[in-house]
Amino acid sequence: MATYLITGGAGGIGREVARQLAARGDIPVVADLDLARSEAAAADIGAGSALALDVTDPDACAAAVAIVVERHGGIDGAVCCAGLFHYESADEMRPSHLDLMLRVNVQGTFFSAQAVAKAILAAGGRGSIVLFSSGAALRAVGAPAYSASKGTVEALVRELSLAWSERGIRVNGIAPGVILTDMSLEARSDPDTIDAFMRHTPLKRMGEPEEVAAAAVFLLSDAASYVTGAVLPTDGGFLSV
Amino acid sequence: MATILVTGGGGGIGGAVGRLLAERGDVPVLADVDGERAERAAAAIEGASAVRLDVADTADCARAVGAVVERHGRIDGVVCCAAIFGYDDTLSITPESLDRVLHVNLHGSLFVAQAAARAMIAAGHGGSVVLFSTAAAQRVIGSPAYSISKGAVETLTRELAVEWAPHGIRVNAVSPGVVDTPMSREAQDTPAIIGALMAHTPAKRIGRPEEIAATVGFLLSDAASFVTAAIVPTDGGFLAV
Repeated sequence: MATYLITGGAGGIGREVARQLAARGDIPVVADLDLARSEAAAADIGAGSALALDVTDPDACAAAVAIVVERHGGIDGAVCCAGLFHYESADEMRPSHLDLMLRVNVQGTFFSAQAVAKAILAAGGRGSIVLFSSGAALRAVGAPAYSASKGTVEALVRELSLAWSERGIRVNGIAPGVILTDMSLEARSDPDTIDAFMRHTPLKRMGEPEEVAAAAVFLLSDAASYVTGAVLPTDGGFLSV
Repeated sequence: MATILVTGGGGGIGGAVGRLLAERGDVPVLADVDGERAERAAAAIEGASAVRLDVADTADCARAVGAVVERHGRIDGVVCCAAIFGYDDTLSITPESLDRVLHVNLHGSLFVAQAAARAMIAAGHGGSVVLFSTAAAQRVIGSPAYSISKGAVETLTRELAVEWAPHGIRVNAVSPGVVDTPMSREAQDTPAIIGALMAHTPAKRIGRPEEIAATVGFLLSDAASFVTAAIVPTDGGFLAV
């Protein structure tokens, strides 16, 4: 029975990760910007607990982990789902937009993971952390700030696995394709965009949050005990074309 | 309850795959170039059966798959563990020794998978194929023939995944690092070699066959329903550095 912090856990993939962890007897702590949404998710799942967390604040990340440890007696890992997606073209990119994407997707991921790793190491334990990349890390999709942020997350997977694997913390990433969540609504609103993605996806469909969550749960589990520094695509084959 | 052909079933990883499949109620058919070794391996696993198969012999691949279908009524997947190493460097390698490695590692994966896919398509149901790459496909470790053959297997994974997606067949590969099997015995017993390999492995230990089998188990399962054309490193972080 392991305790995991799920950032961005109130909706989409994060919520589904929490649900599947609870189903196998683990304790998911749902963390989101909006406490009410976090609490609603935890109540709906019927297990674990909730808290509010702005991942762009490193001190808040450390404080959240301290709450998890106090509340549940320890922490065994995290799934860093908190992230933003927006289109802004290369020609029109503003510093403020790029800064926001990097702060949430990169800095938020880094300091969530760091806070969790520190707590695990301080307790002399072992753990597993999953970061969220995207097919966009390796394939241009027309969203330069998002793609840049996810490329950075993949480098983080490798660096953090180098930093922590020997001390017992595995760090891996998931690279989803187009998944049926609120985050992809903007992209899915344009039939031409969807057409282009589906032509680039051998399975010819979008993914369900449950499918991505199942891969994250595998990476958290002991079945993945020799998997570290890896990015697992859950994309219907998007990266192969 | 899936019937899965496992080539290299008499070996370290193949045997671990067979045990994992049997434990979860699937039917592993262990194939080995040495028929008696296949029989011994299957006898040690409740629910497993055996078939002799020289994967380098294309006709034998089709025969073995046919035998599985005749014996068990169906085939739902194949795991291609059968592989040989090569010891020649690029200045001394001969066409014959390159051919030998390619015929076992590349042809032996393609034509077993092809025979299985033909049977699954004819039966009108989908299935799952897991091929074996290795960290050596992406890093020079001193066996050009082995690395070349496995690089080809990675490309093959994508080709099969794209072509067979419309038939409901997912195709993925596992990429192990150093694993505790007879194939790595000599390296393990040579301090200079194992020292260099561990210096390149963030987890600072070699993998156990069951850890590699666990990734195979995930890829074969419904938890990986949106995963195809993926290469999943299970290497203690070898490819991250």
